[in-house]
Amino acid sequence: MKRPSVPPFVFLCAALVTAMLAGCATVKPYEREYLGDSIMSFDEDAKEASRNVSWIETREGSTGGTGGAGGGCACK
Amino acid sequence: MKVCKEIGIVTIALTAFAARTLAGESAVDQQGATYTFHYFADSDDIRVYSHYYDYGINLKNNADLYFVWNNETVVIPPVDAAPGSDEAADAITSASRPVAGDLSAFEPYEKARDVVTASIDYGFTDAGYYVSIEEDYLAQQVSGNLNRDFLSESLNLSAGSSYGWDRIDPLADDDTPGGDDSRTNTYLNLVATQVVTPGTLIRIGAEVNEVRGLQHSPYRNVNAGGGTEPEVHPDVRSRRDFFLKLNRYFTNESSVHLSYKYYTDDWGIESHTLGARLNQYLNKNVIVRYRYRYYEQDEAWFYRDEYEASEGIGGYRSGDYRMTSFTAHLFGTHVDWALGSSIYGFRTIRQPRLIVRYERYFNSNNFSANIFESGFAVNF
Repeated sequence: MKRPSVPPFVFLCAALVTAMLAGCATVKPYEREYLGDSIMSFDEDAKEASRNVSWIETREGSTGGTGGAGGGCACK
Repeated sequence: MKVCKEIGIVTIALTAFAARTLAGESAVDQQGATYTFHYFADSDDIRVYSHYYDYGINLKNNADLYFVWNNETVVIPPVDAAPGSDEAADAITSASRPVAGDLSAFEPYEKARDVVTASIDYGFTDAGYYVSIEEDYLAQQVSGNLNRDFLSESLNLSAGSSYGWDRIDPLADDDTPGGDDSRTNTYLNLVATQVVTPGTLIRIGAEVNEVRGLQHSPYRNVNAGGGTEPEVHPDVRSRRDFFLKLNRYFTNESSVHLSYKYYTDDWGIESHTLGARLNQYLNKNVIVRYRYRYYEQDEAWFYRDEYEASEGIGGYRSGDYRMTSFTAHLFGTHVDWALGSSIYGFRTIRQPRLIVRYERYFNSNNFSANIFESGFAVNF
């Protein structure tokens, strides 16, 4: 049985968070007008994504399982 | 299960009504509602008709309440052969629907599903409750999330968790004896979102998930040892993934979203998901979105097309193609049309929007599906 390699996974996450924290200059609030546009929203994607998960998780082995979209015997 | 369904829906309806009443008319800043119709049809002739009703309230004290009700009907086609007959062997092996009685296999199987989600978002916390009700399946979940801004609101860190508990009461099935069972689901995530430049956002996150309990279809049989045996999957699964998303704005009023997700679990499945999306304003009222998603996964350690021994591999048997290796592609387009500032004659109903979406999904297992969605959203 293949076991996931936990240390590299955790290391990768930690390295990326550290890079985000350390590597970016602060963008001033008045420079953020584009970021508030609906086409830049992560959340707009999330709404659509949650509907997609409910059918994609019945077709793919690694999708879903994060709670909320599960349920159902018949269509799986 | 029927009683649970009624209790669940009534509880959520009362919660929504109580929250609305307690909030008081004067405390309401804005309300919004969306109706979305979602239609799914695949190459196995399975059809899913879903109606989503969203309702959100923004209160003046900065609390947001949000409710979603999804009413869904799943139609699975007839097996077209008597249970246990030679003609039905392949169909029954791949079917994940119950078959009971001589006539049942020749008729479509139809089931209803109701999902209700209620959540409240206040300050840097949010909490939610979810219930999914079917004739043979009841799923419930509570969730919570904390998030804070740092570095002059350039960085947001978020941590979330949920716990779900499901009850499974399989319906009568002539060729698969299955008793009542249960499943629990524990989930944790950590997400960081960073403003990188005035037009660039990145988000990275990691998710950990452990599922315990029944994780196979109680209706599916598998070719094993020269006959058919009920499907059996391990009853513990530890899953984890890491994702990275980047959103970039361009001055021609468009944006590009790129994403990558790596997933691994202790059933031996590893997967990679790549996503790209282009969003473009055609004019100030119409946004068109184009989407592509690539997915690949490898096989679970206990999966075989056919098992030589009836006990399978290590006591496990699977007929679920989600356990095989395959690749998948999804292409989609989405139009979001703002219909003006208000509906004629109804000045309190503001910012109506029409949404239409079409997606085509196909994979290397000769499976394909069409997804159509249309929705109407308003604020008031």
